[in-house]
Amino acid sequence: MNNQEVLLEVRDLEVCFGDRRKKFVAVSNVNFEIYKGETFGLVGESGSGKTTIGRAIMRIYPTSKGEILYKGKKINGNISKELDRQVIKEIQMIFQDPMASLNERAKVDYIVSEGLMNTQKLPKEEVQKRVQKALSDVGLLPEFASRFPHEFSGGQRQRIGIARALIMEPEFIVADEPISALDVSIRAQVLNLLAKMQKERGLTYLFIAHDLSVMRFITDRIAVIHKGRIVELAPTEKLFAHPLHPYTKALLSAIPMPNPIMEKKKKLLVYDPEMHDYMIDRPSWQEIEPGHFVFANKGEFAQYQKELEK
Amino acid sequence: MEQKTILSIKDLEIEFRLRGKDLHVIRGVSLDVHEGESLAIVGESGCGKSVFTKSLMGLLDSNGKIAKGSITYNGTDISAYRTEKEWMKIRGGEIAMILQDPMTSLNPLKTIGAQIEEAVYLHQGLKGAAAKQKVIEYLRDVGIHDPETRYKQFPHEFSGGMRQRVVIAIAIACNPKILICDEPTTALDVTIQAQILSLINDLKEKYKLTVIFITHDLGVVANVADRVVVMYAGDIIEEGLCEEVFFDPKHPYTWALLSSLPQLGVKGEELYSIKGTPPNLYKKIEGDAFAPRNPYALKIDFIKRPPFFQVSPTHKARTWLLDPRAPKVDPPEFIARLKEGGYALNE
Repeated sequence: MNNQEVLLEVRDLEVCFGDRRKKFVAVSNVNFEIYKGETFGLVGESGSGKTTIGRAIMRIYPTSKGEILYKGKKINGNISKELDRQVIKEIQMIFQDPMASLNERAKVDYIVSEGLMNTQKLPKEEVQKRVQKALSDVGLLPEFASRFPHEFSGGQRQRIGIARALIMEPEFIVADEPISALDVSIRAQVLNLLAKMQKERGLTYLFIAHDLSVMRFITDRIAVIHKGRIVELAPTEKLFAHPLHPYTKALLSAIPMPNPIMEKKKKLLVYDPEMHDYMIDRPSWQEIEPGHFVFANKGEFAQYQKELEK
Repeated sequence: MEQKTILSIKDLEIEFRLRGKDLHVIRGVSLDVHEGESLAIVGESGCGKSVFTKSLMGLLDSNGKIAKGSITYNGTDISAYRTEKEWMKIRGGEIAMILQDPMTSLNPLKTIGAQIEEAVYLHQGLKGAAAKQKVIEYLRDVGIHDPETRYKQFPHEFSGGMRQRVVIAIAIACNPKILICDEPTTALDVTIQAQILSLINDLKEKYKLTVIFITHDLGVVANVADRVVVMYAGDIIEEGLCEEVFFDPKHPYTWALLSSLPQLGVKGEELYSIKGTPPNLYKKIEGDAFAPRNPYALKIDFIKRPPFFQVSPTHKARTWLLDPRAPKVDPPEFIARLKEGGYALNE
């Protein structure tokens, strides 16, 4: 795992909102690396700060502490114009709600090509050609280019959102809950499309979601975030096989299973942050087995180790 | 098991008049709802599940009408009701509804207490201190801490899950016999979703309710339903006990719905997705509505609408595949994976 190329690195990231008197720390002490070509998942409930991290990487929100390194270069704070242009081209985002993220007054043609026109000087025919290609890549007909967003269903609109990101030929995509607003049957189509694009173009994804069941299918590694702090990070299969942090366990128990017998006797675990005794024994971010990190104090760490040995 | 039928729907057809054309949204649905059960209606968006339940409360938009059929509740045919006055006897007091989005279903200008009290006053005739006492009791029932303080607060001071609890409290305060939950958890997080579902289950026991769930998520169904009804293009295509529909589904559409669940996906493999789009309801549908998207479709599926074939006394499906003359088709292997349970979590 470690000899892979690191594409994005987040170090001690902190994002605050508001001024001094009403300062609110949305996320703090966030550390992770994303390798080239993988899908990295970020899971947590609403208000946990997962979208904030995604947006900080997109440079939509300013950071108050820490560094975000893309290909070894710092991209948060003030950066040179050249790097700015490179980052805009190479990091793209797919938004959660396809009903709200498309400009209702613009034609698909314009929505998809806007990024290209802003960053590169290309002849009109070339832009047209790329729009057509981007649309057919995501499974839409090229003639859709002259229509308006309201003429499309939710699944089709999400495809337009994906085409808009792909036309820039990015290397890294932040997908912020791309399927939570979609129907179950459409979800499968969009997930398949994302997986196909990754295979064909070697894309790297940061996949943000609240639903672990989807994560298991699409991600390679998962970070679980609670109240602005990452509490556990592990390869997907390890996280599902040996969840350690009580919050991860609570999230796993909440996944609705399509099996009535299991579902009716399952016990719902509820995570209560009060259960940790952090008064004397302070917790820290530790590696418990290769690639598997957990936020714990010494006592808990020993207990988790025992659980792993079982 | 002999069960009392509380609500009986016979050959219901609902049409909407849209731009000079008739849209056949519900096409001949018959369904019995038993007292005290929880029934789940499952289907894609646009299959008519919301329209169907809205018709039970007389909440169809003004361009929609019940073209045929009857809805019998407690011996009276409520589909013949025309005036608001008649419907008001049903709404709330007999059948109450919880809507999908708790962000929009509460009045932002009134306190939580006042909104629940309104239902208490209208349906139980309580006023003043007695009503307030009752409201606080309901707030406690739906799991809201410190109800005395919360009583005076406004919706914006509540989180999404808490608001949904308030909406449930309002529904319960009407003293209904039937509670319709229209996608009660779609707008919520998974952790909150699980809590709300178990809350509805608890309240069902406590207030002896009959619950009708509408959802597109089969995972939710497994948790809460006794019986499952699968709807497609305005028609019921499969009906059975929860275990029967999950472990022994018969209709290819039910197979497709189950197979596309990401819970069952294997990483690296393509997730099953249903090809094509639901049929255009402006046109008259010949045969089985799912046939054009159905890889198992037979010739007759395009010509003649299949009748219901009984699989067991409680389980029936509307597909020609169950006809004794049909070739034998095995359900896809995904269905077998279901029985194994995917992955075990609570060991």
